[in-house]
Amino acid sequence: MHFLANTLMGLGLGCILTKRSFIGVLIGVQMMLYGASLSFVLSGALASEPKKGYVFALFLILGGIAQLIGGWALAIRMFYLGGRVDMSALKRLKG
Amino acid sequence: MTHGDFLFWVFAIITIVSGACAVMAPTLRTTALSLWICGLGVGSLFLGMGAEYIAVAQWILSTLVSVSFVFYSVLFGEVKKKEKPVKVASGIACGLLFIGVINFGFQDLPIQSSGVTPLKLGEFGISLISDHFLSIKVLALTLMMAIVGAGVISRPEKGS
Repeated sequence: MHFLANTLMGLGLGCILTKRSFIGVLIGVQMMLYGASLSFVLSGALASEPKKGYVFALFLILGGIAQLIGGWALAIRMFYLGGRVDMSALKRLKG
Repeated sequence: MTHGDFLFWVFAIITIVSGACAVMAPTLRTTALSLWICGLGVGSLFLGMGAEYIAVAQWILSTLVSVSFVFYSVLFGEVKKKEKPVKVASGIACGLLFIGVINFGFQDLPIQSSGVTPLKLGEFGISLISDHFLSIKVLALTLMMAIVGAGVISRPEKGS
């Protein structure tokens, strides 16, 4: 069943590599986090230690929110400076 | 194969297909909506593995995250015309179908047929508070620093 988590991770990586927009990259990172948390819960369930897997997955999901908050703030900053959120515009963030 | 196992694999296919749609979608708005379906699918897989608390947290957070992504994609220039009523009605029907499948489909969890005893919610909560209290504190501090830092980064320039 681990191929589910691995496929999600791969799809997230593909999203990061193919999307030109910064928001698209953040979506790809979020998908990779889904895959990682799924992998932790699966590993815990298959190893008959579900509690450990759940705890890791919970911290991963909530840690992903911190990453998203930072990403959104960067996107807003990019929009202030350049009027767009393309990855090609991510060269300088200071005004 | 029980119908719980069958539903588990149906949700697995939905998750992978929606993930692929998120990669190939032409607009950010479609990508965010595909990510939402992917998150709901992952939550359903968690439920199938007996992780009810994680499943509910995943559903709530993926919904909030996807709504935020749609908001930001519109804010940064991807404007969509007003939705047709047929689309809204079909969305509500899909939501009700999802609730029905979760309520009636996962009566017996696939993890039970594999011989692993699912963790009780109270046991998980006690474990979080007793064994991982410091980790929760560090996580809370990290989230607070992220929010404060985001406010500092995204503030407008003086005079702009």
